[in-house]
Amino acid sequence: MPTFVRGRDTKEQTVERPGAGRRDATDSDWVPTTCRMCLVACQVLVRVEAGQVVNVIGNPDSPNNRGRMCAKGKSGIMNHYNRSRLTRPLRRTNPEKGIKVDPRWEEISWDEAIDAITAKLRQVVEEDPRKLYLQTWADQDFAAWLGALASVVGTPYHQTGISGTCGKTIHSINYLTTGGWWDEVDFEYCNYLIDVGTQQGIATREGFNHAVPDCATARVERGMKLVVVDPVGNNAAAKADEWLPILPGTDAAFGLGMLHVLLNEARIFDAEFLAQRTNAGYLVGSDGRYVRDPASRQPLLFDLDSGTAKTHDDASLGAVALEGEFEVGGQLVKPAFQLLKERVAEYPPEFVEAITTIPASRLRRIAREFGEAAQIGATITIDGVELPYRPVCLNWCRGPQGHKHAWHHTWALQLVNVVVGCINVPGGYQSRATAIGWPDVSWPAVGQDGMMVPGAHSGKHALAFPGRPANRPGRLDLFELFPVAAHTRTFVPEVSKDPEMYGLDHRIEMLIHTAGNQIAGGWADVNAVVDWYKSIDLVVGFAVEINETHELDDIVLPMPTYLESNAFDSQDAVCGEGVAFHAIQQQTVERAPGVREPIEVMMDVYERAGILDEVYLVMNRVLKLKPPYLLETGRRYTHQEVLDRQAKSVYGPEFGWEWFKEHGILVWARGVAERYPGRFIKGRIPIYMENFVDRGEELGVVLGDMGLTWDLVDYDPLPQWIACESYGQLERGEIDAIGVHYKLPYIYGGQGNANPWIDELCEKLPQSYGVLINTRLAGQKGIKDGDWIWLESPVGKSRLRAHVTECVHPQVIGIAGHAGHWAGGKPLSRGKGVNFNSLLPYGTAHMDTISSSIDMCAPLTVRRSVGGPP
Amino acid sequence: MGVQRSVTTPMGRQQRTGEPDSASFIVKVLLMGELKRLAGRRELLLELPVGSTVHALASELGRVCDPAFGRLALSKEGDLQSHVAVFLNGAQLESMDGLPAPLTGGDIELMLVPMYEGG
Repeated sequence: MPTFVRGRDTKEQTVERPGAGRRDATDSDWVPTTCRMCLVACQVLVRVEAGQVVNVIGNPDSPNNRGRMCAKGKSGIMNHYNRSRLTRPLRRTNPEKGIKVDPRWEEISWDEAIDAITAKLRQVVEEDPRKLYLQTWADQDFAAWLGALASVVGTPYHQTGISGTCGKTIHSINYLTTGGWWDEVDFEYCNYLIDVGTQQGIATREGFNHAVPDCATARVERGMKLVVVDPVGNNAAAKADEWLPILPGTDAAFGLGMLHVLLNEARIFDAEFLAQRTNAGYLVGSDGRYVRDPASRQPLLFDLDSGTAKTHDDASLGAVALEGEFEVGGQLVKPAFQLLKERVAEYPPEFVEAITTIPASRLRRIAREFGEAAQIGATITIDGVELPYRPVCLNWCRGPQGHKHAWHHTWALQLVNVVVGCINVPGGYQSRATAIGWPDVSWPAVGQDGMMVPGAHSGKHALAFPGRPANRPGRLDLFELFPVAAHTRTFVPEVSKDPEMYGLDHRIEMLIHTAGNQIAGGWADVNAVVDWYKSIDLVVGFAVEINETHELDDIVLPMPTYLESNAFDSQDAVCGEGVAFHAIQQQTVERAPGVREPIEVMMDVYERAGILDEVYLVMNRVLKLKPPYLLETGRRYTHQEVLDRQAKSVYGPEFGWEWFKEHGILVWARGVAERYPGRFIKGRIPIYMENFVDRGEELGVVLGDMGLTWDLVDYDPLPQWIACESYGQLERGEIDAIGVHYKLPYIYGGQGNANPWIDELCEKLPQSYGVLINTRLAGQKGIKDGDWIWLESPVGKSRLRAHVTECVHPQVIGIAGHAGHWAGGKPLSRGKGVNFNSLLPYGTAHMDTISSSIDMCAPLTVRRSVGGPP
Repeated sequence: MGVQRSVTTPMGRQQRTGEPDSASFIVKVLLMGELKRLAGRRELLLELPVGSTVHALASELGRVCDPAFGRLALSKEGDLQSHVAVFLNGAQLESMDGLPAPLTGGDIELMLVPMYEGG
């Protein structure tokens, strides 16, 4: 049984606590639950009066948000009491599908809907389960129940994000370097933060509601310096000590320039960490592969003490050579670190300036400041445990990932953290989930070649190391042609246009999706995604309101808002904090009539399809159910009965669903090693992706056999900068600017501004529905602030209001949020702003050959429009 | 080296071809998700030498199943890939640390669970 802690070990609250904690105020009607207006999932208290939600506030007991919440969460009330709310299952009667084409809905009963879904499911599973595509969102419970369907019938297509583009290299590189799923800055100790293509600590990202106050505290109390590298002078840039406007798609050059200054000019790096905890000392031969011990096949390092090569696991290994050249086994070899130094030497700041437009002097100064602030060699004692102290972090996220050569952009940036040793130690780059769990803490292990293998705490993820041998594809996402990618579902609409080209003999005939908005916000070029949806026989969507994606559905099923939903979710922890927690989501008010819980709807489908018992078999494993709480064959359960079994299986009989409903959150203490696991992990972090050599060669053979010609230059063990297509177009004067998307703190995904409160914010903050254009470019085009302009790309054009400003790179158009809606079910947001994806080219040429990430650079021409609003 | 004692496809029917000798034991392997499709079967019984590990089981699966199974589920070295969840008698082996541990029989399930992208 966990020791339930509350109010201690968590950071001091910074806000009033009107909810107080329901258990201490039994006469209160504040119901603890978890907000689901975005992925961050803050804990909230919901005020219910006469069966109506009248207020939502942050739950002060939650380490995740400590009593705070944001505009998105507050607006959940209006999402719930929504005039466009769907309350009856609908079926399309118009066989024609398309953008702004009326589906001509007819209401049908739940029975009719479930029968139709079951019939199609039976057909596709019998013919070929690969004809079934499943898509879920942040609701992990529903993801598990729909994922169980994939496990039972055997389809490989279960997309667990609204956008197939999410987490492409973010998770892969985090697993490689931190052993965890997601990163945060350790604001508790960080003194120097560089945000590259992210607004963490200011406006967005996981842990938003604790990161923002923590970042502010770090800056006010310790003078933490914040440098923002971003094409757009966004919220983070506006509050930064320095903003470095960077040309999109050049982040790798910036990272490589930083590394050059650190390694070759200033010689600032954590040699001890690199030698002992990374593969920096692994010897590499002229073929790019490790030099291995002939007997054990383990990689060799050069031991300076004995003057001989020894394996990484040799107990007698002394001081490891990181630099130089050595003769081993008759060949001249170099440590991986030496090769990294040589690679980054190709990127002196002056060269980087020509690529990124960031002045060489600024890059050089910032790199040195960062290196000096790292205080390499310093230690700190926390709770009696001495740990390395590296109070710096280069934090990166979706910006650098959204490019044709995503791997190299993000890998170059992450290596800046690795070389100064700031991974998972106080002050540095932290993973939220390297070591987490109850009752057992899941820790990374030591795997092949001595490298770190993540624990099994956050789902099973395909890892970049060691990767898989390439093979002819059997899937529409071409997973077999991406041997080091985590997932490749970005390819499905593209490959679905011509499966035979890849030797595939199936297409998607049935799609079941949650309330996300894949048409507006997933993938890229909206017309290409719409064409794919049109080719699917039966699309089934769960919906709160009819968005752009639902307008292409064949059957739409009304689902609860988060204020009406129950979910057990999962364990979590905030980086550096002395507690971990498990928060639940619970129904706070009666559901709107006609609305059903999606999990129970799917149980109906499974039962009618005759596979419910097999689903139970999977769910018993996935939910970690234990006797006597296992789901038994031949029985039906309500969702809440399952939740109770889940809670008791994990935490014991005293912590059932009723306990969680009462308390909302279970918080327990965790030790220093879990909070800062960096030096407690035995597996090594790669700085050199040696496996890319073999995986790339194997892929080349397969592609050759298939008659495909792909440029495999990205299968390089070391980072390099390779230009996106739009970079060349800009250089050649073929386009006026690169359009980039940036995030607003009050809009999440493609589903925000239909909400009246969010729409009001957007109307009052003009950048929300307009676009940012630099003064220089505006002058060249004769555009004045407030003018209407046309943006045109190879796949679309939009007419918008221009906001002329210095707060955007001169060669960039900044496009905020997710707007430009056209769905009838979103009347407030219709016709406002631009849908960024409508301007974004899509296709194999625009996707990373390592990660399948989509290039988010929109090549744009810009011209002034005559006349007023459309 | 293990010997494939029986195969059931795709669900239900089982055929034992004999009892294991004292130097070996039988494990029932349940393949879920895409593994089932690639292996062409849901269940199979394998006879493994006493002291065999999950590593050894993985190698044996690679030998007896269609090569397509191995290409998705196994590394070149014959280890199970990170995205394959392993359940031993209903409990997930929480890390690859659990794989070298000797098996003592019982039910083994190899299950592909969702590979999470993010939001």
